[in-house]
Amino acid sequence: MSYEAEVSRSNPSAFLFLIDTSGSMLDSFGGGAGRKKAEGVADAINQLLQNLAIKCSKSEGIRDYYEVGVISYGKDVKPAFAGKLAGKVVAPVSEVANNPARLVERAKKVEDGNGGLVEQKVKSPVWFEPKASGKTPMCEALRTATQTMSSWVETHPFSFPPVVINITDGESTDGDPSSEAETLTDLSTQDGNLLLFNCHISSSSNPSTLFPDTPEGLPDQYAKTLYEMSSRLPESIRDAAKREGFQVSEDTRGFGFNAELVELIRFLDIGTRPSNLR
Amino acid sequence: MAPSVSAFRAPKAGSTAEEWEDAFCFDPGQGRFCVADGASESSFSATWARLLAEGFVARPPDGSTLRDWLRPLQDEWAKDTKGRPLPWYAEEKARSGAFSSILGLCLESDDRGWRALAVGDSCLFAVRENRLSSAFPLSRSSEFHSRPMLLSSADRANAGIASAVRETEGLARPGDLILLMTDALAAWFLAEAELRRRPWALLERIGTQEDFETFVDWMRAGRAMRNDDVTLLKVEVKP
Repeated sequence: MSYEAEVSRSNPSAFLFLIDTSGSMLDSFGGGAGRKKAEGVADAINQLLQNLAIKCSKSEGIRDYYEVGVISYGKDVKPAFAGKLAGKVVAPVSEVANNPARLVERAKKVEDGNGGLVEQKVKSPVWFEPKASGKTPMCEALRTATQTMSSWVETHPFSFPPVVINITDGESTDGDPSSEAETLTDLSTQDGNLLLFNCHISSSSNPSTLFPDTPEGLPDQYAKTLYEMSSRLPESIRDAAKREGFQVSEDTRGFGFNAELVELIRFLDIGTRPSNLR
Repeated sequence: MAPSVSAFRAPKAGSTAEEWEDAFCFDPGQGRFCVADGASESSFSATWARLLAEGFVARPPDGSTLRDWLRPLQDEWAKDTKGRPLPWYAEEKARSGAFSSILGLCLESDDRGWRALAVGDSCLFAVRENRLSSAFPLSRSSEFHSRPMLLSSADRANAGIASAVRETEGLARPGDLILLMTDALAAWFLAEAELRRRPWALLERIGTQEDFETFVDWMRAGRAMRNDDVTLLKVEVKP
């Protein structure tokens, strides 16, 4: 049986995010005058890292259920953590949580339990800053992911397999990424193969598709390639998608096309719910 | 004569004894017994579960005034978490509050009757003459799947609590066995009972903490019990 390993401190799992930081990320979501994609993606990743850290936080501190990494690809391909973590590709979630590049204080409205709202000051950590320049070297990014994760799976043979989530707004500029994706997803632990999910984010106002189980209806060969590169969802993640209202089948892939920011956040949230924490 | 009581506990496999987030408390002289199951997603839930169990035994609450009964315990919990500087994630966790189930039992002074109060999925089972005579608040193993409403250390999260409180009562006779347990053990117990087996017989034989740990390991290894913190209180009604 695959994808059943319990995620525990002795058998942590891993998330690696590949983030397209090419020049086109300066465009807005949906092609209008709204939020720049680079900013939206940075916010989504910071929010996701924050949620992961909170999920692993216990009275005594952070439990290292996960190791987390962020690689950006644009002008160059490199680890994207800022601050004390700069230069690290993957770090235990406790180290990530304790070393954000900065903390931003903001006001948050919460329910007071008597039908009203109260304002609370909360601190939001920032690890990853928006950037956008250069081309889209997706093949090189996938190769870097393979390098990082091949040693990871060797040292964690019993873990729930790592999940790699690639977020891009465009076409690979250094070749067809299919075979690089295949090499990456050939990596495995005894619990199954590494999972690669791809989320294409939108610059146009075309309709979006999240977690499809067929390439039919995808507009071009490039979208179909990304679909084919994406892993089928294991049962635990399929269940998470189903609970969020998605129609899923055994062929459902971890793929999103033309996603808006809200959809990207949902995609990340579902894609990072692989298993039960012990 | 005061009832006899024995208590057993086991942390999740992979966690240490200090990381056990259930709690229990009892005072056989007063006939009060309580277990509480701190939710593992929340922080400082072991403290919260302990405050609830101790609070119940010191002064058993009434279902209708439960939210007021909680206030001094919430203040106590806040003192424990607010006194020190916390990193951003612990602040965030403390702000969302800790959550716990509660299951309390009061035996009347003549030991002729009992009443119980529950919020969440910790369960009471009463056994008389080798038969299950009461299951409370859940009575089917399939009921354990949903996320139960729990008591929060943050008052604002307890707005819907009135509809989640369950209360019941029963008659007690000498020789009755009343079992209080947290959800993983209770789910196993009900599944066994549904197969017309007698799970209480196994629990009756447990005499020491070591016996209990062996039993729990064995159940987990056979996948008969979910890997979770486990707590059991056995109360025997005396003549």
